[in-house]
Amino acid sequence: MELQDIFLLAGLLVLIRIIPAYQTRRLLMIIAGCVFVFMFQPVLPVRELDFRFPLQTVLLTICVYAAFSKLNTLNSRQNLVDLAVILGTLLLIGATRFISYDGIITASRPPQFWKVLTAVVCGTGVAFLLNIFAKNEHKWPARICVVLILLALVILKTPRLSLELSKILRSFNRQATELARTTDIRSFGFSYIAFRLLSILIDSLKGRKADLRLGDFFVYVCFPPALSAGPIDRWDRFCKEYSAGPGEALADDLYAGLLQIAYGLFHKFVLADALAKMALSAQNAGQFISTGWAWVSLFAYGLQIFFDFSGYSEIAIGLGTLFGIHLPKNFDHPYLKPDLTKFWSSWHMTLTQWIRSYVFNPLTRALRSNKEQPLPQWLIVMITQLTTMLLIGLWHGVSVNFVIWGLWHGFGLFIHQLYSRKTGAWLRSRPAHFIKAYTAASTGLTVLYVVLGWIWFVIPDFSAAVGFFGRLFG
Amino acid sequence: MKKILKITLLTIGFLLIFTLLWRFTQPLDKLNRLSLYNHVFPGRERLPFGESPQTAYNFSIGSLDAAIASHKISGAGKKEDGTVRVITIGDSSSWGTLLRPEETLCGQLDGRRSTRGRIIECYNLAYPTLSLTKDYLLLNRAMNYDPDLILWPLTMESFPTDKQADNALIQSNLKEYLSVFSDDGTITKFPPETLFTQRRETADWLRLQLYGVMWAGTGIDQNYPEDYPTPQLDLEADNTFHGFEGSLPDEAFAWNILEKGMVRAADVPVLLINEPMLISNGQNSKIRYNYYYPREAYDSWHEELLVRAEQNGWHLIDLWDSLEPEAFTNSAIHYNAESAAKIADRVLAEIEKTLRHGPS
Repeated sequence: MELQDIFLLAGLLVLIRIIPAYQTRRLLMIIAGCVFVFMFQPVLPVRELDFRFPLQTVLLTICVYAAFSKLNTLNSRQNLVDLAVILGTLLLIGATRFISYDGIITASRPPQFWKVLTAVVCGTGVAFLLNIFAKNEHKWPARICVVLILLALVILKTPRLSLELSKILRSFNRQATELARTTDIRSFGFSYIAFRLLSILIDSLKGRKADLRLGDFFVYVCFPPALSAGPIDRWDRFCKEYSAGPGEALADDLYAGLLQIAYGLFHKFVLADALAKMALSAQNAGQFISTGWAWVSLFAYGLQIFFDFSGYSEIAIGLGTLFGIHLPKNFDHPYLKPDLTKFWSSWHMTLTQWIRSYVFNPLTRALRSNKEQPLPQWLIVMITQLTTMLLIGLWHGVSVNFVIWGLWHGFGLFIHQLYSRKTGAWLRSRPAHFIKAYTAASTGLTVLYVVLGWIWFVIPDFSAAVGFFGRLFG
Repeated sequence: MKKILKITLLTIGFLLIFTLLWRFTQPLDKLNRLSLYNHVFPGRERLPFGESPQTAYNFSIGSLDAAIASHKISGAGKKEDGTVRVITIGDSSSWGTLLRPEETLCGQLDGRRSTRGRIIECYNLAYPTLSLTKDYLLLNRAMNYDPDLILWPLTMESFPTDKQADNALIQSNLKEYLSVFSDDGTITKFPPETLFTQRRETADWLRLQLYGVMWAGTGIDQNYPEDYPTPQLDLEADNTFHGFEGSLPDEAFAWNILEKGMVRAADVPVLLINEPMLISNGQNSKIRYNYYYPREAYDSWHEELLVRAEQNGWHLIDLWDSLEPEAFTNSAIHYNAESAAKIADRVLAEIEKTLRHGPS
């Protein structure tokens, strides 16, 4: 999100909020969700892809809605209206090719209209088909959607697969395959959209009932402020607040929202962008000749990624507040936490909570379920911590460096849990000043551990990362 | 709503007060003289210049004050006994395009002993713009740092009158330029600057300080591409130079600025160097020496330079044809590190001689 997008979105959300008619407000929000999925998508060198990705995101959202619960029928009058608005918006966005040679809403000129129409008709047809089976209590439509979303995530996050897909698409489009790059395959915000879709699908497969309107579900998935960097809100919380309407506290929300946006803008566009000029990067990692300044640049990176990410989250929360939606907090002073467990409870909190709900807790329960031959507690802790952190690492990208970064934190969390169990009671019996000093020292150690972990995160090349460790300690 | 109104009024009030304070105190000039370089970061070896700051950790900053404040010369302090302080001015070939700081002419001279055993302390104040006026402004600045000798490499492309003020550095330092070159001695008054009109300069000052970390950490201040286009050897059959066919009239060249520079140096000796340039042997090389110069124009300028140096008693090393075509990197005047070392040897031999003879 650029500055102009933020201001545009802020104005638009306030305008939609103050519309008194509930139905108009709902429909406008659906249109906004649809439009911003296209607007935020960056231009891609593979022909038509920067239109196809957002189009498929919207159609996938409709299919997921159709697949996840027998309670949700696409044929209801309300849902047909919502569906007509979404599809109409898609077709109108596709029709902008007739009024401009460049993209007006889209990153580049939309493809020929018949292609858009065909995709929309096919996508809607599949959704209705899935819905017929879902209504008959079949679970396979939801399972197919889970597999498809995971597959899409794996392709988008795996550089090698992205490259292969780019080559295939290029050869299909008769474009030079030797120019294919991994960066050709980028679907804006899909990591977040995928997790929102997955959460409702998994809940539905577990038997949880979700009685939602299509439009409300669509706005939850494609809520424009949260498209770029989250937070990943829970669908039940979001939809409850959204369907209840923005409430009367417009002035309070405006004040709180603008203040939050101001903080976010300062964190992202002043602090993070300034720190970026001195922060460690894949490009400069091998250039350092001074150990001291290498440490400075590493800490600068630690702060940059924090202000960048938390800044965007604050902007998203602020924009949501302007509209009357109170998105959950995503960061809570993570660098001031005295241990790694608390750090991960305050860093990208909504992702951590998502992983905890859908991976950590079920995995822990599964490992504890064998009462006859129970696994030792330390082994359960190790498996669950390593698995969840590995998944968080892979969420950022399927590559060796993210795997190591995930394992680095998984291992850190495992060690901390073992250690804190043994020392917790002893520490509580110490005098207050000792606890204070201990907390300060452990906070410093936690920051150091996290900051050193960023080396794996920022430097994709393993030997370059090891080389940078060598520079720091050599 | 009251809260929003209050905060809006507070913001507007704060902005208004800040803008008025800025308008009346004009803090940018003072700010540009402040620098983290030479205090927190080591001073830069050469003046900030570049177009890709993300990879070069350096960029072209308009303000000469800020540029000089970031240079190591600003932290140089007093000269030590047994040292000779040499300051190099000139264009991109002295600044060292594609050369690391220690590979430039100045870098190769720095720390070496002169023939009398004195250690040379060399500061590179060259700037990649071809203009004698720009050279003059830098020489003028160099005089503040108590030099024993000024090295002034120059080439014909810096001489045309139409090139003198038509460059970004002069345009960004118009006040200084006009105060030095105003013919009738009057000082042009500029309208006071506001925060709004100076936002770019202020941001540039801040960016320069931020890039100090990467400069300090890596010692990199420009991009060093492995591949770059080599200078043209096959040339156009074009005998014109800056619109003139054949040799140029004297008034087409800014000889007066060169003379003004020599006067400004006063009792500090100046060693002029006619820079080496590529002499092509390709197509139309009978008409032109290289991309920049037709033979006829260059020869007549060259002769004039030698005559003027002789007449005025200027110390001049004439190195125009001293390098082979292979010595040039990406332009007809940018030479490689080995050539810079050869030139440094030649210059070293002349330094004591020039110092002995004193100013021109």
